[in-house]
Amino acid sequence: MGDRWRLATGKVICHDIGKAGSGFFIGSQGFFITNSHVVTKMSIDKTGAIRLDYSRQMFVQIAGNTYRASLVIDENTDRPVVYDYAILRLNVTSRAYFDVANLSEISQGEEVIAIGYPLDFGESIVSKGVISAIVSRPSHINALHRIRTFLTDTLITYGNSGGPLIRASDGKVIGITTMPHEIRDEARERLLRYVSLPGIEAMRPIRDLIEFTLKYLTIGFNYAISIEYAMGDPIFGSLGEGV
Amino acid sequence: MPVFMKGNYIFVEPGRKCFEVSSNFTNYLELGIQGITKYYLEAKIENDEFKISGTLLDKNGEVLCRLKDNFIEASKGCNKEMTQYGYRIKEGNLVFEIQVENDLICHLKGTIYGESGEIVAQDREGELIILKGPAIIGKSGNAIGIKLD
Repeated sequence: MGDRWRLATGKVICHDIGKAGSGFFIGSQGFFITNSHVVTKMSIDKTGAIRLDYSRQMFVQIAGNTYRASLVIDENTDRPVVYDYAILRLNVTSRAYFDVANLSEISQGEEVIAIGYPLDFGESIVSKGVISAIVSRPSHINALHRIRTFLTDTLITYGNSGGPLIRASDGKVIGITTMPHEIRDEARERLLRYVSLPGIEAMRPIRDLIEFTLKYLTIGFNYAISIEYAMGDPIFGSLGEGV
Repeated sequence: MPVFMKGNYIFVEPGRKCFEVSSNFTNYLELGIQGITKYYLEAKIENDEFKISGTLLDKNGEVLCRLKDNFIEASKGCNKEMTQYGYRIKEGNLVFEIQVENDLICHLKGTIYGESGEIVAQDREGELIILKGPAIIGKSGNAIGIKLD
């Protein structure tokens, strides 16, 4: 399984928006899945509207090779953003890919494996855990929507976003591992404001501590968004066949 | 004779997710009748999620867009703008806005037009006022809270 998993996952790098994450091939048609927040830059304008700019320079590194990627979902619809998925195509055809598990069979306590490219690692990192719970969480992008989410004790940190959470028993994907893009986190906003305060340069250790906290420390369970939302994208329906 | 009702909880307990309609709190709102009136709006709470579906018209009674569970299914020149707490439907100007307060109360703002351009419902000072039936406020199974003809 190891080599197939390694070839079916990749590190996503978006040079123009300064973001990186993970992703994976799904099905035999060559679609590559990642998180929306890995390939978009989000801002909020004065009216409170969320503005998103998709990366125009998306690359995926797989087993030491770098491939150009392009978006295949409709940029003008908000569904991928709400459910935090993006579907890409790479200028390569992969024979290694994940199949999708039957999500109605998934249960609490099952062993799962997360694969991704966290932090600055250039190699895929695999970690094993269990499904701690299956919950409904508010979308971290838009409070109106809720998302079926797998809480897990697998190791998921910055850079894992977009990688697959797979069922250990059969290697089928059940979710997209996700580090929350916490635009609603008030504590985080406050810390960000401190970093930009005048005079913070004179308190370099404090600033370093805040920046380290913002970058690396997370509290709570890791989680993965159910793969059902990405699989429900019209791109799969419009092909007239499943993956 | 106009009837004003305020501060009622219709098929919803205080502290639970609800829609605010004319200063009342309810689990369900339906404006128009699906398949009968040209306009239609259904606001419901399903799986702990606010879901708005329907057909919005412009002031000339022409179809602007169709919504299904908050997502635009078909549109004639209007676009959806996401906010952190809901979304806006715009056609140049604001047509309709959904805003969730503290993950609990869903406010509906804007103007809902009927097929002759008449105003069916409109927010006034932050409250959605229903001006024309048919409408249903509150629903649980087959039981209906308030029905306006």
